[in-house]
Amino acid sequence: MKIYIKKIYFVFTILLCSLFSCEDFLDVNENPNNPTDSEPEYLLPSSQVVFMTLHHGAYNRTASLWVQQLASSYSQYEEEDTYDVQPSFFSFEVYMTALEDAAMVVQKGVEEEDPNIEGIGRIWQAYMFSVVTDLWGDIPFTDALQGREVIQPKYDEQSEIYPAIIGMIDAGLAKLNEDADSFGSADLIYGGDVQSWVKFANSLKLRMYMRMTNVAPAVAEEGVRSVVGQALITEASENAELAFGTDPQNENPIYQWHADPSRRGDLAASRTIYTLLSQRNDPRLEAYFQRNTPAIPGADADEIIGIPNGLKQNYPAGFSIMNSNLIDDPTRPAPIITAREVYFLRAEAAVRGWSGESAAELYNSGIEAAMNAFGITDESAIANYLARPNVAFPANAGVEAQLNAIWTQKYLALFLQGVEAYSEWRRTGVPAISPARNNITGGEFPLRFLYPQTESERNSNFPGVEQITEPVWWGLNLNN
Amino acid sequence: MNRILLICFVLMSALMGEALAQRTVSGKVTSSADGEGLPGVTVQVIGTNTGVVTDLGGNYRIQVPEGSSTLEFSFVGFTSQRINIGNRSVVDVVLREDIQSLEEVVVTAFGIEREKRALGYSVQEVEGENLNRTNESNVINALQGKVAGVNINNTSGTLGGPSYVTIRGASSALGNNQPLFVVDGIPIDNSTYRGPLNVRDGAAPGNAAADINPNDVESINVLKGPTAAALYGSRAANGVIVITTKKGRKDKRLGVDVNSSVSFSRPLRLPKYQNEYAQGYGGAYSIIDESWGPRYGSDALQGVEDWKGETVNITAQPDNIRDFYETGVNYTNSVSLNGGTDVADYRFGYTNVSETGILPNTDLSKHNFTLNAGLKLHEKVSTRASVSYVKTNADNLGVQGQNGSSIPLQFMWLPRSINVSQLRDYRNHEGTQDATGTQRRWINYFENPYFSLYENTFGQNRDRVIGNVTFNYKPVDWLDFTFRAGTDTYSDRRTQKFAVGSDAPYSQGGFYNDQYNVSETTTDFIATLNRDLNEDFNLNVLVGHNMRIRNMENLFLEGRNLIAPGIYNASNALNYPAPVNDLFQKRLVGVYGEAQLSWRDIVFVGATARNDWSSTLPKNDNSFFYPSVNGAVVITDLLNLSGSVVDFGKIRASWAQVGNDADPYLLSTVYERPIIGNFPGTDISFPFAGTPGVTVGDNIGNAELVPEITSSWEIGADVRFLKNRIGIDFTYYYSNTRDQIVNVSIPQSTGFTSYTLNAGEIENKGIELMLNVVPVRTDNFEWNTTFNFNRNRNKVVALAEGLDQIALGGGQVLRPGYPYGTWYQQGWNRTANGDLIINPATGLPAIGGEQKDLGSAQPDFNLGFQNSISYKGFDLSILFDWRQGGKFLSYTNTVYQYAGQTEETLLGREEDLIVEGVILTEGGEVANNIPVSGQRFWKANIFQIEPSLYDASFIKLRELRLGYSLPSAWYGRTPFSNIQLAIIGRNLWIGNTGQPHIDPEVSTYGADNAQNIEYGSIPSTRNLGVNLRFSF
Repeated sequence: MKIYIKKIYFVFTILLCSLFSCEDFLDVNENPNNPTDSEPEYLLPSSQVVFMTLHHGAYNRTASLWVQQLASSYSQYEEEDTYDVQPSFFSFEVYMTALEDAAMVVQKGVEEEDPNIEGIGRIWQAYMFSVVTDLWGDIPFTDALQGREVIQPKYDEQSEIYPAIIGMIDAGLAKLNEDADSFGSADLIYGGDVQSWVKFANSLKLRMYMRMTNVAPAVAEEGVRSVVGQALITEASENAELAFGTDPQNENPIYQWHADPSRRGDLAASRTIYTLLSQRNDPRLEAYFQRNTPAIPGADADEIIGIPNGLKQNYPAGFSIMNSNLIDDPTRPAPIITAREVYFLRAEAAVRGWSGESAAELYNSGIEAAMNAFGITDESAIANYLARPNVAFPANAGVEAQLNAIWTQKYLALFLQGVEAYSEWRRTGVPAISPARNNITGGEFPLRFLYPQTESERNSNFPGVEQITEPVWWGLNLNN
Repeated sequence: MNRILLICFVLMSALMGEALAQRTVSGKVTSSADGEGLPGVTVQVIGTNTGVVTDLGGNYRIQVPEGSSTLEFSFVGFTSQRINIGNRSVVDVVLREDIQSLEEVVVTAFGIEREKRALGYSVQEVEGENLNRTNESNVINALQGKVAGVNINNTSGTLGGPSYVTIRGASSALGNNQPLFVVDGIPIDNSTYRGPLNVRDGAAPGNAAADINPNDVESINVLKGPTAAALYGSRAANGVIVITTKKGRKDKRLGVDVNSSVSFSRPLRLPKYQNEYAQGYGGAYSIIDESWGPRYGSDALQGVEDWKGETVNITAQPDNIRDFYETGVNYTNSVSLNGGTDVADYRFGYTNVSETGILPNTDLSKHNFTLNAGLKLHEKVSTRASVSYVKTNADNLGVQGQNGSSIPLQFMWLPRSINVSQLRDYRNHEGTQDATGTQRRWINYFENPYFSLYENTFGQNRDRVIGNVTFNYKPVDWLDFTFRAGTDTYSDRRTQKFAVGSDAPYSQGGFYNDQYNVSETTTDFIATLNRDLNEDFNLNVLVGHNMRIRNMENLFLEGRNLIAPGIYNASNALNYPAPVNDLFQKRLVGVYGEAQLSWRDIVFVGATARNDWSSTLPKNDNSFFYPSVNGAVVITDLLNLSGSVVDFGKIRASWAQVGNDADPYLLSTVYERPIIGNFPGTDISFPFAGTPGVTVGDNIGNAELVPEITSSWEIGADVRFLKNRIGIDFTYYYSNTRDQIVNVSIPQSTGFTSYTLNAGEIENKGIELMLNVVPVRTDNFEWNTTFNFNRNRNKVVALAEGLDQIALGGGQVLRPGYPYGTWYQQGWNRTANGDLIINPATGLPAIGGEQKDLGSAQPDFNLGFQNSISYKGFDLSILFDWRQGGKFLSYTNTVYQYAGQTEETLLGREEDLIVEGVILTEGGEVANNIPVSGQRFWKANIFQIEPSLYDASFIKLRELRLGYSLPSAWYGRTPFSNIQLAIIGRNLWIGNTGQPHIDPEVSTYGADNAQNIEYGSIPSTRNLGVNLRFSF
């Protein structure tokens, strides 16, 4: 029988091959729809845009609600606003998009021996990892992004991830070379400018070392001392930002949330930031929020109203949404690391005695830069503000009061940089805030993001649910 | 020359001499059904080897030896008759169709008709008549409850909605689990294409096999196991549904058959709503999308502002949703012409289906033209062609699921005190436009349902041609060459409109066109040899060659921000995010062979083998081979038991393998255009302000794929007793699929979402039992009962190394040791003895802890129970379909609870509840005593898996037909004949369900491997109508 079948095979194969070449007939498995290779010049912009969309979008919103700069006015975000979140609200898509693309940039840079491709890739990837670990704590790091090599990545402890990220930054810095080719316009943040990336890397290190003050004070001190004198972001022109575009698929995420008239009233001024600003007669109150409250009939139309977080219903007096400058400009850049933040970091270093700089000057520069960033450039107005008793740097008070002043101003400066504001609040406990009303955590604060459902479903090395009320490694336990 | 003459003379003399001792008997054999002559009936003189076969007119002439006086008339599908002829020389016989043995001839691979007794595997036939009792237009749904081992979910009340069918359980981890559909020998496409983008999630367009018109179907043969299907190759691992279409009768007269019906549909089941509390929150009235407000009649509801801003008294609206649904109407009209001669036959059919759905402004129409014609070109050469053209057109099918225009989603959040009919005027009139634009909404976040249905329509337009030609050359009567070429080509276009004023991102209007061009071309060249080797042995050998080309092209264009409102054209939008233009090609070459040896028509053994070369496997390793063997023994004939209580008994056994290749382009990782969501805004994508970007694709390709292999065996018996009044057909089967080609979902932390690999092993085992009983059979009255029972046990045996589980969707996973589609998830925190652990901070139980088995979608058993009763001109047919066991996930129910809409949420409104459970303290467990409001209690369940899981059991009155054949005397002088009137009903009743709100058979995922998952589905319908059939 077998021989017979073989003969048949033979006959038919001949028959078939006389009609088509057999090889050619079956040779249709080249993917006509997508390329199977690419270049760093296309991968880096993908990584930058996707990451900043997440960072300035979904991460920013949840963090801004939890750190009470924004509040949910209608019920659209009332779950987040009452800490009633589920794993399905969160996602690790950052890994498969922005982080994977950056990893590929690094790989291509190494393969093609392009030091600036590799260096910028590493620094950018390190930055993204720092944000992800700040939000989630322990995350897949050493095993992450290995594709088929490690399909069940294990989680690393944040205490080990932090030094490893700093190692990545240093490895990137070591590669940067002003004489070698770099990205051009494909680098949407710095246009491939190597010196800017050096400043970015140092500023990021400063931020990360400072983050460890609670849990590894010696490492923090040594690190801050080593980096505070290096090239840092000191001018607004050096700010790391990503500008969005005018095409609907390129718009600023916050702009998009407000583009639909029916969604315009979803997010309002939180009473917490409102109170801190109005107590200081802060010109930024008007820069951050609008006076009118169009959606609520009968409300006072000429007030800025901050509403309590977690209200779960309409506030009778109405509410204020963000200032039109912030929500009606589709191209408005998303800040990444800015001079104003670096001023406050340096001020803190100075207060702690880790640098020889003047804390008061840096503090004032930080506030001024923050005002400028939101369009307040009237120098006398700024000077008046800086002279207010509850604003002026308490040069004669103790370290604690000075740090409090710096952290409070940093909180006010980091509006719409919810992720960083949230991280700094978790590190410092400043400003003191009260848990949202109607919270479902028994009055405990959310101190981290939940691991996404895809991880618990798909990763056998998933370490188990960490409740949002658990602090991350470097964070204070604000729930004690 | 002389010598030849001599031989002739001698032969003639011998014959003449024989004749002296014989006599000639002649006559005509006719069918009791239509009185027509029956060709091919075997007429045998009992006790001799003498036998003849009737001619085309049913006439016969036979020499009966002296001493013999009994003739046996036998024909497949008819009850054999023995007749003592006495001295008669003319014997006319009327053969009666044998209902029991109608399935005696079955259609197996490549449309080859085989005697069922010869098969070593299970094949079950459903005749066209039984298929089409209730004029169901989806041929898959028409099979429900009629075939043991076939599990069919029709997934919602969406017009033309998809049905999902599996045979003997799901065997492929993430690949296709549905059987191959073959029409007149040519495989057709049964895909349900749904695009990858979120915007397309809400629609549920039907599966492609639904284009086969049940009216054109002569019979459906279900080849259940791989043995039956092995010759079809790769895609047959899940079984094959072989559809044979009707052909013309060999009757010179032109026959015309007309079949018309009209039926009406209403929702089979609507949620049981509460009608005691109004819109509001925390017992207070407010304009909110929940019903936790004050009790009706209380002062808090008098003279308050409603959503329109008018001051009114808020009252209960118990029928607000019921009244929203309309009565759907379905007209199905079918006419066919047929006729033929000895050398040619033809049948032309036209069917028109025109229906409206239960959702306002939804409709579907279908035109189906079919021509099937055969021609005998020459004594040895014949040809046949069949072609169908099917045009499906729907202006609006309605959408479901999480889509903003999904009515079920809107209703989950619709307060009980809102009168939906007040929304009928769905536009704001000039001068009163509010912030939401031109749409008149009752609340900001939800569309007006009438706006959704009248403005945001989802239409479908499919043009399809299915056709094949067959040439047959039969040089000698034992050898046959057949060449067949066929194609299934269609273009399926879906059009979704979003009017200005829709939800983001379509507040300025938008649309998408999603088009699929699919073609599948198959050729087969088959040679068959059928020879009696000697008196006892017959050999049947088949060899064949098969080529298949499959192309699928998807064109997707979305436009946003219309320039001129109301014009949904690509030239009229400002933006076009992420167009898709993808082509998928796949080719396959196979050679196959089959040999069947039979001994005295009592013992049968057979073997098949096939080798395929596939374009989708690695080039150097793209060939795979798979064999099968089967055998059957007719015990009753072997042991000569005929005439005893047992009329027929057969045992059978088979073993088979079927290989399966991969989908195209899985061998390498690709780069794609980046897209990232920004809820509730638009997706952010590239080019980004002029800068191009690409991202590493989500799936990791694998250049070392090997084909997946399904191995299966089955044993079975077919026994009939008491003059065929009782028939039992029993099968036990086992199948195991290994090296499954899956895109395994992997954690995103790997940098990807899936990885293509050969992973895992799934086994299915089970029993099928068909029981057919004729409790009563008289001349006027016959009662026929059929049970189709199936119990399948499914288990995931293993997955790839390092992989604990694979996510399927909706929380279902594949996990070794558990059935396919198990919800292996965190559940309620419980103590060791099962008490709920209550969180002292909230007074509520919490989801957490270890993941565990919360149940699976697999039913314990399926039972179809059909009764048909005929009495004089009346016929009554009732089919119950019972599915027992398994779970289904309904987020709809828990959203309704969250929003306080359904009747169970009346609990805990006036007085707080104390959830039964314990609180863990340092001193041990203490009974919970913390009161919580009903509102908080019912809100805790939303989107949680364990509280959303319900028993998936149901019993449905699937089909009902009460027909009456008008006595021909009433219209004997007219040209009409066979006039039948009937009342027809489908899904008239449902019972035995685990919750009162939702039909557990619906599945929002449609024809997807993740079944029994429901979120925002359009209710299934109950249909009742009348049917008229006549011929002339």
